[in-house]
Amino acid sequence: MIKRQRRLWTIGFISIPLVVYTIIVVAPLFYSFFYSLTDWNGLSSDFNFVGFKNFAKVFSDPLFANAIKNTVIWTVVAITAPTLAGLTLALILREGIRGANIYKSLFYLPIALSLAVIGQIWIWIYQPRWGLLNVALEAIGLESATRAWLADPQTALISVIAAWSWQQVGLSMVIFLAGLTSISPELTEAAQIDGANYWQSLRYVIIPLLRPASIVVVALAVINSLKSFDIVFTMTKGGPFHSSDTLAMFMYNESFKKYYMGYGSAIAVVLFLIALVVIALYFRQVKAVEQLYD
Amino acid sequence: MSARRSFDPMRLGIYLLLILFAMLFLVPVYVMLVSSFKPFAEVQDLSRMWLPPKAPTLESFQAAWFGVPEKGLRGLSLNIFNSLKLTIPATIISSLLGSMNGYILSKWKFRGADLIFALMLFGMFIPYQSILIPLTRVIATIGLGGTIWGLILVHVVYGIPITTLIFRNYYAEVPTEMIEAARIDGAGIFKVYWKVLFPLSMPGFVVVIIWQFTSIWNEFLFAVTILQRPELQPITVALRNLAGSQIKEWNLVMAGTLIAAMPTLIIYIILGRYFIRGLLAGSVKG
Repeated sequence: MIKRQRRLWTIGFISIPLVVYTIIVVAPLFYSFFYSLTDWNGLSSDFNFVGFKNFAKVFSDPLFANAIKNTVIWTVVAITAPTLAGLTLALILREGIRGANIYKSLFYLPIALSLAVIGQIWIWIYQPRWGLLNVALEAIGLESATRAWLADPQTALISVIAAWSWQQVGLSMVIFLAGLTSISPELTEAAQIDGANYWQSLRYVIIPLLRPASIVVVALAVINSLKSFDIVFTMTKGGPFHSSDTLAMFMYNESFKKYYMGYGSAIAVVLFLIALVVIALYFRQVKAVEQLYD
Repeated sequence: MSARRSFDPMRLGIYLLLILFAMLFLVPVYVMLVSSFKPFAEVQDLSRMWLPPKAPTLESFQAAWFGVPEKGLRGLSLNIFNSLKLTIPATIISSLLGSMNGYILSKWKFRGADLIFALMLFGMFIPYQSILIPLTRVIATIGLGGTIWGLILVHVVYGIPITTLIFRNYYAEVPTEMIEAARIDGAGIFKVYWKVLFPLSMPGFVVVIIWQFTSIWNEFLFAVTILQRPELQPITVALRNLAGSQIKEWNLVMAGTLIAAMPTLIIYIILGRYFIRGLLAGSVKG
């Protein structure tokens, strides 16, 4: 009797969040796929099934290809620039630098800010006339390099990515610092007794042992690249001439600005499938690392 | 390595690199800060860009807060209030739910518990864009479309994975014997939670609440799609309105940006260590 009552409580306890979770998270995933097979415009209550027409359009739309290209560029920069900067800072700050905690706080401060705030700061940095960047370039005699960074299709995308990377540096630094604390100093000392210089112990001891942290940093970078929306929306809305469209931004514009909900859903499904591959790869890597350490 | 005391070119290089990075982070913050205390006329004067304001004024903050109706600028005071109305309940509810789930999943193991947990974690990783369209539909269907409560519900639900994860890791360190003992004394599932686990949970709650408050305050995508009406929008979304007029008054935009960043900045400065700990619990252990 008591046992049964207990089980009922367990079920009750867990099922309420589970049901809500199913309605809000799991069901919409299936619905996205459902809508992607229709020509729904998001406003009217009726729509027609159009089969895989939306997917056919996805793969022939040059604007979709453009968004994919931009997202790939974003991802490549994301897994290199802030990752390497974060790793460098983590390695430096581990070396008993005076004021290390102040530097750490400074570098991870941007993580506490929203991307909308960071976007505003950087719009202002990129301003053609009063912007920090152009003023600084002029000050060092590089007037020829000044431009309207966000209004120029040549530089809009990379400027937005740079602003985003500014925030991400702190994130990867913190994760690498956590990874470094788990490496016992005896290991690097042993390598040095064996005659390894700093670069050798970095290359053969520290970097391999940072593998779990690196996997987390890279996985976060890729996932966050796929999601990149807030800062694009704030800074360029994907423009000028789609030059800074990411997949997420493109999907938003097609669905919520042009009301092509069916087409937008098809883009959403493609986005989801890409994310699924990344997540699967991530968990495989994590598992491999766990086995390595077991 | 720290044993090397003599002059070392590598050490010099390291410090130079550090200073360079520090500039990259400090200079924008500094210029932003001084600009927000200047009147518009002084912001336009490039020769004074690096200098502190001649006579510091709060007029930019006033304009950003109350708005400038004759220029069509809406103030942020309403929006910061919206952000609070949204963030506080969503943070409290999702933290409590996460704590209960973490308790059940770590201490009251039942068949399928690990599977449920894995499915929950999955929700943390999916790009929200891929469920955005049906989600707005679901919210509208249950009568919460375009309301702050609709957005609160979304944040509560999408907060469950991370809060559950952090509490599950946290409760894993509570000795199971304590729970067994309470059970033998006849305590039910809820009594064990309320009498044994909840009083131990404060450090866990600090981490989770900071984490949730910051991420909900800073969230953008759900807010911009669910809340279309400007007077309901949270401050992160409304910030654009300040920059929306023809001539951008940068002093005003910077003041507004500082206002929007203030709550999370204060939390970060006071409780930053816990914040980072929460971040690591969420990312590295996940």
